[in-house]
Amino acid sequence: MKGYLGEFEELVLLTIASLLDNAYGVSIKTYIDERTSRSISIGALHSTITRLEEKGYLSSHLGEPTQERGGRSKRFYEVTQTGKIALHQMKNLRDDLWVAASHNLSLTK
Amino acid sequence: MKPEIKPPRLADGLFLWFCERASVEDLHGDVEELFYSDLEKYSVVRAKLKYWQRIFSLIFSYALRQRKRRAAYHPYSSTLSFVMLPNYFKTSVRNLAKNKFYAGLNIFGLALGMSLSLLFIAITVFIYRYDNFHTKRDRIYRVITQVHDDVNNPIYASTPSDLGFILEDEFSGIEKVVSIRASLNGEAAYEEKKMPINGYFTEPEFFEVFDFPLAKGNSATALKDPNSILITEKEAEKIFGSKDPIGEVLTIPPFGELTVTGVLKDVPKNSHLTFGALASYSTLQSSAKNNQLPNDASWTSFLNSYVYFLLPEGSSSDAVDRFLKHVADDRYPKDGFQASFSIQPLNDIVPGIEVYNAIGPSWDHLSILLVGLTTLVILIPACSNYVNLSISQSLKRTKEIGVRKVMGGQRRQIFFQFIMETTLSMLIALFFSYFFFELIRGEFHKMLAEADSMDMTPDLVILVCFVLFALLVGVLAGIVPALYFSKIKPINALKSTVTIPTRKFRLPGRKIMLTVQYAMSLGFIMAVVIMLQQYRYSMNYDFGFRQENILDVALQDVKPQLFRNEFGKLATVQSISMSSNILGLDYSAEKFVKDDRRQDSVAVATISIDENFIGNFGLQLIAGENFGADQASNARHIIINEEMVKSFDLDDSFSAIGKTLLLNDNKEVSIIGVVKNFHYTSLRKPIGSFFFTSDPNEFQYANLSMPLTNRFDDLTKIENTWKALGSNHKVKAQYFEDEIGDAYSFYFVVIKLWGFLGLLAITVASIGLLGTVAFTIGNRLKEVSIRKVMGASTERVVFMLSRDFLMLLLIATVVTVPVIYFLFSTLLVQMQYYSISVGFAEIGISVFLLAVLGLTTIFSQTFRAANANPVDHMRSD
Repeated sequence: MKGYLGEFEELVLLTIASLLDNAYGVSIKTYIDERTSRSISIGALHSTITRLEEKGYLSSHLGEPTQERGGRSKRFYEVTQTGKIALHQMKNLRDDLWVAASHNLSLTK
Repeated sequence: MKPEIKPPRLADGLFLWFCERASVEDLHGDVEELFYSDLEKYSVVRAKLKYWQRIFSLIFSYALRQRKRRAAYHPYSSTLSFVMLPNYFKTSVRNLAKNKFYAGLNIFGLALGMSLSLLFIAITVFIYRYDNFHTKRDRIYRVITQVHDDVNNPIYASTPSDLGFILEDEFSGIEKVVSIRASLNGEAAYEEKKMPINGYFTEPEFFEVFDFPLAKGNSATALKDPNSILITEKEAEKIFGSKDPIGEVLTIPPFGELTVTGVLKDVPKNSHLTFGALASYSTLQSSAKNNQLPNDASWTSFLNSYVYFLLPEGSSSDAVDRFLKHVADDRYPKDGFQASFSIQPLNDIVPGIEVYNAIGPSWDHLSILLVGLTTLVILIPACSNYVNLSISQSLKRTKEIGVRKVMGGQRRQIFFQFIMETTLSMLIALFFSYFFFELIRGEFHKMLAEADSMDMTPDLVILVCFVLFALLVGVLAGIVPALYFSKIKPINALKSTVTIPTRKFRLPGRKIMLTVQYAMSLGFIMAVVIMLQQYRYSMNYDFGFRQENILDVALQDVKPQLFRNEFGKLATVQSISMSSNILGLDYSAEKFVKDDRRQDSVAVATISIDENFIGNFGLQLIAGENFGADQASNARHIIINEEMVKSFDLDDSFSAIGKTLLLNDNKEVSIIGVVKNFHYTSLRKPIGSFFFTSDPNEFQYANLSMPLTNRFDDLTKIENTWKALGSNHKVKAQYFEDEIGDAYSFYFVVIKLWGFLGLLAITVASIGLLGTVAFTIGNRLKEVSIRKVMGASTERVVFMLSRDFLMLLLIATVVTVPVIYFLFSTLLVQMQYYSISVGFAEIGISVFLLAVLGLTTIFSQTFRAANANPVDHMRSD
């Protein structure tokens, strides 16, 4: 289902965007863990990243080898242009819906 | 951070093993980084547990699965690159060209093995295209009858003759019903000519249901009136030549004069309805009215009547089923004869279930399956030989595979390459196989009567099936070598340390295969030899009457007395007798005989003869006397055989004379003579009760006793005399010896068939053995050379090389001989009551034949190796 963005996918995309240059597996995981106070499994995270890559919303490159990871390099992710458009579309859709639903959704009764 | 604590090594190992070639550096790094951060927060055990957990979560993740898949399809190692195809092709061709001997053997063996399968494919394709020319075939059904006799509940393709009319009149949900009576058999006379004709009586609806086009005439009206007939173009050509047949009158007794109202296009060979002529059904009814023919409208007679019907489009056959059930319940009262009707779609007739009274050629699934299995018996050994030979051959090619792999060839590519090679050889084999197929096809047509009605001329569909079959066999036969070679590790291949797989497990497998093949070959040889012996035995059997110098002439329409007068004048004819049947052959009539002391009458075989018969055939009268010249008294008397004396409890032969019996429940006869037992019927059946009657009306044959001087002259004389009798028929005369020969010619068919299968099996087995021996020896040339240099004698070396294979032949013999012996000992008795048991001579001959073949194959190779100059092979490296 190309173009469809799941809730978790959107979350991951936004996280990667907000992590700027430092978006790799562990940093994304800890960021989400801390903000959403839920523990996501590394397998699920990477699966989602893989799906996003396949949809063309993410691009990636291998970094330099690092000491603290047993000499292994990190793979850094970046949101692509299509990814950004998809996020914007999602946001627009939500905004529209919020405007339309604002009356009902008002917390002050 | 404590650097000395490392992530669990087992988990790492598992992870890396699982990931194979996929690039997982980043993932692995991530888990390790998480592990170290965990170490700061949790205990070591907990951190390690979490590490395991993460490894597993990755192993089962989509991410890893995708990475692995991508690794396999990496652009630099895509599985099937078409660029490589010409290369594979070239390598295959070069490889075949390089090993001409083995390639030739292989392809020849495969071609032989496949030829039989091709025949089978042609047959199957033909059978499955039966009746496919009827445009309404999906809506055409036939009514079949199952008789419930509590014994074998036979199913008949035919029905009582009135069922069709009942279906037509009392049931409304059917578009068309057509009744067929397949009794239009006889001789059609036109002017001077007489032609045997076979056909059906049927209704005009026939043409609305089936697609049998007319060449001339109107299909709507052609069969309307009584006494109209349609004939096929082929028959028309035979009877009328180039004359227009329409309007001509054919006389077919007993149906009378029939006017030709049209000409049918010839019936396609794949039609289950086969006829040379169609006459109007009303002919039957009108001749039945005139009492010319018995109207067998009985509900217990299923002879010759068939009902087909056409359902309207989109309607179900259930209603018909219910109606037929109702009819059956109605006609067959509870405590009487029980039968039920059911319907059979046209598409299920051929191939379909086995039925009695089939209207045309029938093929059931079981016999197709059996033929298929027979072809497999030949095909599988041929393929397994191919696999063996190609594996052993390709061992020389491990370097090539090594290089391919080093250059980036993937396992799948190597696999594909070998499959392609096999398929290529298979296609070449198919080419040769086609010639064999053409050869067998001709033989097959000659051999089996059924084959006559088959059209196996290869057309596009059959050829496509052939190619598909070759490709399928190619892939199947190619899998084993391809799997084996694609598995070879490049390092071993390049260092030439690929072990010959034969050492471990393949050699026993190969030996078993060869042993089975030789056992099978021996089986076929033995079967043929035993059958030949059986044939000879039957031909020379003493039937208990004179077999030599008897010429049987069919009387046809000539009166016996006239015949006797005219032929009696011939000098060469010593004596003439008359009979209703020919002795010693399968068909003798039966009559019911009742003895006044018993309740039931018994069916007893009988032949009607004249007073000269017993003397003519040299039968021995034990008691009583022969028939006399007085026909009125002959009609009241019978002569019985010894067996009948016993089975009717008539004490002994002498006291049997004068006893009376009831014939066919209405005619009282007395016994005037007892003859010694003789074989009145074929050797397949035991001698049972038998009696002679004497009724000139039943005479069908004249038996001329004439010393054999010059067959040709004699026959010419007979023919001339026959012509003088003024008969409309041609003379039909045959020597008794020839007729006996004909009667047992089925042995010949069996011998030919098995002989052919045997020949195939032996050839395939020999090719396999030759290839294996040659290969094994080829691998041991150096060893042989060294042995010879060290002083081993040629005989010693030959023995050493041949030992394994001799053992194999021995095992095949030891296993097969008893199996075949017991099989035939039981089979022969069932086939023929008076049969010769399997003797040592037959076993000896068969084993000898096999030994000659096997030993020639083995020694031809081993002697060559043993006699080679050791220097030639020692020098090679």
